[in-house]
Amino acid sequence: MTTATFTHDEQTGNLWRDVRRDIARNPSALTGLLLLLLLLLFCTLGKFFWPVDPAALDLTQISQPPHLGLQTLVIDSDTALPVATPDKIHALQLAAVAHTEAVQLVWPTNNTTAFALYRHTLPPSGLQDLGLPLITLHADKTSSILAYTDQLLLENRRYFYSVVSLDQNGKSLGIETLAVDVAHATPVENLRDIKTITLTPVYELPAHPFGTDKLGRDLLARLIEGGRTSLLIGFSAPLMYVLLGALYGAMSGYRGGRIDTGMMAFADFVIALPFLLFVILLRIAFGLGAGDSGITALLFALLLLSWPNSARLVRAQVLQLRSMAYVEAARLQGASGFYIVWRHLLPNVLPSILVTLSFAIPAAIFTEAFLSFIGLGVVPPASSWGSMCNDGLSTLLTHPHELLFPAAFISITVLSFNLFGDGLRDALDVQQREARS
Amino acid sequence: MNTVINTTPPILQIEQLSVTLPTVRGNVHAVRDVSFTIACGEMLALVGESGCGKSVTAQAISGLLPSSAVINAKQASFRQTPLLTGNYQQGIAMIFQNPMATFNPVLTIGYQIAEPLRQLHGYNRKDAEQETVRLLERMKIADARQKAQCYAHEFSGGMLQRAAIAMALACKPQLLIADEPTTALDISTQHEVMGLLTELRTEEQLAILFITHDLGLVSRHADRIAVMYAGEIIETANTQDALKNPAHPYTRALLAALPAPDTKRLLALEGSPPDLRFPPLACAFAERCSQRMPVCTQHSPPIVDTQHAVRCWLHDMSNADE
Repeated sequence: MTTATFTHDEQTGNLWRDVRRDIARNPSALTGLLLLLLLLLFCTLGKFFWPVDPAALDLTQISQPPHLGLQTLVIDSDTALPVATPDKIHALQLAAVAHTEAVQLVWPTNNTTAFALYRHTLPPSGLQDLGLPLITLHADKTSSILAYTDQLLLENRRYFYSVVSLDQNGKSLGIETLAVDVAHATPVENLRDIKTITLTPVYELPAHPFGTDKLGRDLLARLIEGGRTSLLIGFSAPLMYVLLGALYGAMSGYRGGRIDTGMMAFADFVIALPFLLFVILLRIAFGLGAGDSGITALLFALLLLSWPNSARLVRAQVLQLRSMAYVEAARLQGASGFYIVWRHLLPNVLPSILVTLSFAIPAAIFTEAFLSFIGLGVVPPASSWGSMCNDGLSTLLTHPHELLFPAAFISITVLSFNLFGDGLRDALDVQQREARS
Repeated sequence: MNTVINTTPPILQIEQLSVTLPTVRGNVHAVRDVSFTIACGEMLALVGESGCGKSVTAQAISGLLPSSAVINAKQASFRQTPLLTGNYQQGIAMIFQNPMATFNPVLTIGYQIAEPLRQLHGYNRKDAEQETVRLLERMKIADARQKAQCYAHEFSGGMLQRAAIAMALACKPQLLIADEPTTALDISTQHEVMGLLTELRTEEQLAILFITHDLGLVSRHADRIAVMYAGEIIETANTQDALKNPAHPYTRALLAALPAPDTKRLLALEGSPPDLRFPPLACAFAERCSQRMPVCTQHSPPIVDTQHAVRCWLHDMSNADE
């Protein structure tokens, strides 16, 4: 008897206590919740731990991949690059220290007149795999040495340079390959903010754990700042308009008859309104000019135009539920329409509201990204994850991290909300609970 | 069980109630000229086949009909106050046919029983909880405190229907409308529920309007029976009287259709009830009546207003004189 009572007590009780327990037992929902909390902490407290100005341009580090502190060579780009003229060389070699501003190579001609120079990021495995062709050079008879200075988009990494000697017909006579570790270098004029510059060869540059974008702005600081915008829009707008739509739909479905027809006709009318036009109109209404942030206009446009979908969904379900006896019982007890909708009908359609919500959140984040892209959303130097994605798109092939990081953050947000939403939906479904536990 | 002579004034008085429901295919005259009274502690059984207007009558009294319904009555009063005003009427509670649908699946049983206590009667959370448990115990639900924390799907049908009665009682009603409360239950549970209703009737002087099509159930529990056919009450009498000496041919046909140990073959009534969009001006039952007279198809029969009221030309004295 006691054990039976115990198990029963375990199974039921206060709804929210049960929901908490169910979520605590559901690893994926718990992960989602944890990720969401981490994201919120990241956006709120992040700037205290990483107090870098998200709008500051670091000209020494344009499109820099992630690193924790970087040593750089300070060079004076105004003076001509030092040309090394060794008298006697026997093989392909560096004429000076290789750095990201210039890599100077020299090699002996050995009576060959034509050479092709290649650069590769991997060790070349043969004639077909030499990498990026840099130049084809012709030597005159008098010189015994050829030199080339590579300044083409150099990065702080190891390169493999290959010199192919060619005969008259352009046939390969031989390959010589040299591995070069390119050091990071900064022209001295980019370090203007630093008071005491000495042209010491090595200088420590500030760390950018998530790298920098193509204007040299710190990606981590921009992710923290942009997350506030994205999460604000991604959470507040869908929460409000889904709730509004659900209430509207539930009221409409519950009232029924002509009121329902009229309310749903209005919802159809709202669906037909063009979103973009509304954003522009609202900007004008709010007195926002070309360079102003359009976040408020965007929020209002989302609220005004996005609710009918959830309203229709909820109405369809309420139409089924409203003839249930418990609704009649509540009416018989004198409950008001709003009370019945709020207390009895909405909890029953909560699962589908949550599903709608988990679709609405990424949609809102991407709407903001799209509007920022066409210049109606956030305005630089302010950032949002969506606008960072759009910025990163242009450098995807050369510096993928500028797109990957903000995209990863959007994906994690959406994923964690979906995981949590699924868990919450299951936990709220009291009829399923018994079958599970 | 036995005939109770009620001397108390009726708590519910309905006179010439008619309800018209507009539908896409025309107005349905669902209830026509229905009159009855219920006294405190009395159980009136409203019997009749499906679609005869029993439930619509109940819904009209409780105010649950859609606002598009046209309700007319010469007189409709509950505790001497006018009914059908469209305002909320305290003191009337209802039990529904399907106990599963009576409770919201996402709220606990206890919460829903406590709801009227807190919303209508100003109980605080703790008192409401205690009263809920008391009501559940009264409904003979064991382990009531724990069961109050359960959801509807964790109850059996009979338990749910008893909890539904507890919820109705939480409204502190004087009139309980039971709309086929036992139809979805098995025989033994039916018996339990009926026993509880009878107990409430005697102990709390609760008036009960019991809607059913189960004549056998009615014969054991109701004080009076009102038989409905095609939107009209065709016969009202004390239970014993109605069952022993049914006056209306339809009541007789109903009784003949009841299974009994010695019947070989049940009587089935030919034909079907009239379309209530175009209710007949004469007797509604005339087409199916085995004792039809010429007058039946021409004029609507008057109600022979005695202790045993019948709406039939067979019992019209003036007609008999002709």
